[in-house]
Amino acid sequence: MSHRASLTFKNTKSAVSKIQREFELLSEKGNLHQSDRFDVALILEELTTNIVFYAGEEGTVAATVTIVADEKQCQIIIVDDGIPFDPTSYPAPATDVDLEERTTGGLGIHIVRTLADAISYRREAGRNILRLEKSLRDN
Amino acid sequence: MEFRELRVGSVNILELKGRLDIYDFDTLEAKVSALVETGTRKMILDFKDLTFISSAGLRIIIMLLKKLDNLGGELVFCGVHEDISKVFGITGYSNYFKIEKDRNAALKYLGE
Repeated sequence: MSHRASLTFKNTKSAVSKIQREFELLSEKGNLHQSDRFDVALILEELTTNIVFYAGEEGTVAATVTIVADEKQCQIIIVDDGIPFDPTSYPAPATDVDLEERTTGGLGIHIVRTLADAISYRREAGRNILRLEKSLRDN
Repeated sequence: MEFRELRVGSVNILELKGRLDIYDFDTLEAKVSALVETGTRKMILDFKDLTFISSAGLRIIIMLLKKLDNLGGELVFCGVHEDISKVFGITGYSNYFKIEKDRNAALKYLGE
């Protein structure tokens, strides 16, 4: 059985927690493993935070997040009409340098790319379309 | 997120509870900056009741660690849950963090 949640929002700060709450409800229904809940919640948090802060002036960008989870995997599709941004080609941060040289840019995207099993991006009709897959643990 | 502050000897302990995310950025940044400015040099971040952390939360911690490092201070983590520990690993931050199992071990490490 699969569970689906979809939420359309403007890029305001409150959207980040609304999406987290939607996902919490879905993970209850789907009885997701605690670690999967953590991973998917973190992916959603990082991607929606990016849209809120960087996709355009606050309140001007429309985005839709769709989450579908079945027993085996969780799919996330995020569509937004903000400035073009391809997280799949964003440079990874250097993680093996001294603390002083360590910068915190690109950290969220790096986390997302590490946690997701598959991620694809396309720009179509003025919209960013991001699709991610995350396999789920047996519960 | 909620936090609670304690002091044991020369060590300041900050217990974090719940989610550490974008909504806590300003509050926690102000809190840790104030602690460092008022003389805190040895600090424990107790993550026993912390269930979630995002990159925004990690940024504050790195800022705190750099500040303490520059002042010859020390930061120790304890009670870090498995999922959060995994994020420390993914981001490479585990290389810079001193992590102890629980608060007693963290206090012992800091000489209290």
